Amino acid sequence: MNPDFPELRKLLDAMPAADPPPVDLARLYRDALDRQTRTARRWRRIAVGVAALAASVLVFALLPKLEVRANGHEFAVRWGTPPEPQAQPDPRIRELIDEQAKQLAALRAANVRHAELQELLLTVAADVSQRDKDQQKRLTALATRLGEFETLTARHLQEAEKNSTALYNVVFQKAKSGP
Amino acid sequence: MPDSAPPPDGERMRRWASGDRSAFEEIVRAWEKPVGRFLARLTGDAELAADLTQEAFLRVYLNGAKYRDGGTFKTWLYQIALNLARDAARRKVRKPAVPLAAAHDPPADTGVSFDRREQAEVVAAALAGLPEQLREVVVLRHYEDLNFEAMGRLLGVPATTLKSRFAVAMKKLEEVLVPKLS
Repeated sequence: MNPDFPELRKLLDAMPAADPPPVDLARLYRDALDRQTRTARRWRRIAVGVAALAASVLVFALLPKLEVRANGHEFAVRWGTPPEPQAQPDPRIRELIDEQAKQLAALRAANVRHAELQELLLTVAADVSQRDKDQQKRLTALATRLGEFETLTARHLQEAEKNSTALYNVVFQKAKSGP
Repeated sequence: MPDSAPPPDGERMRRWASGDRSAFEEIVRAWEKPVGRFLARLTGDAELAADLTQEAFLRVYLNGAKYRDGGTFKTWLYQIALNLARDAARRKVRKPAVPLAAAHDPPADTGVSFDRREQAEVVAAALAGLPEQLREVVVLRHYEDLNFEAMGRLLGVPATTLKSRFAVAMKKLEEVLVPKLS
């Protein structure tokens, strides 16, 4: 079988290719205008629908909270609950609060003073302790020196006694032995 | 029998885009016959083809601003026509179709033989009997003389696939037509 199908192509060419009727330009322009108008109308409807949907969503969201009031010369629309009026504080409470603040300040100052006194006491105690130690050292040194002095004195006394005895012996031994 | 290619239309489109309505009318007059014949062969219905041709140029008018000069005008125009033909086939318009061959019946006194008319009817019927995808390939390849690459750009199908479809379609037609008409 010939892949180019020559015989078949001849048969296909036998099908007529008569010219179609010409395009109606006037009708084409009318149809174009009509279609453009319909498209614009459709977009307007869509825009209105979207706006209406948004408005209805807003209304349904606000409706439960909506309050409409009409007086003689006033028309008010309100949504949501009005805020609660703030209660005026009791002046005595204010005074108590101020008093408490003062007491707290005084307590803090007292705490600080107490801390300072404690610090001073510790410093003095440390000083006294140090002085005691110094005094103790001096006393110890003094005792030591006193001991040394006593020892020295005893020695001097012994020497003095020796010397006295020796002198007595010398003086009185001579007297006995006469001229 | 391939249609003669109309002159390039990029210039006409540019003139039309700049507000010259006569450029659009030139485009219509240059392409109404090729498009009409293409739709007639594709649908197998002369009256439907005329309506679709009118609609095709209406769409060209409404969507002219979307045309980009990078591609070929013919591809863009035939794409519009092809989509219209496919939509019509899907809608399955239930009105008596005017067969293509009968619509082009020559007047009785022209001397065209009945055999030729009957032959045209058989060919038209065989073509109409093909599945839509195969019929499109045959019409575009044989009658519009599009190569497979250009056809691929138009149909959005690889050229190799279209070659296969063409071979299958021609084989089917050969099996139907050659025994009847040879």
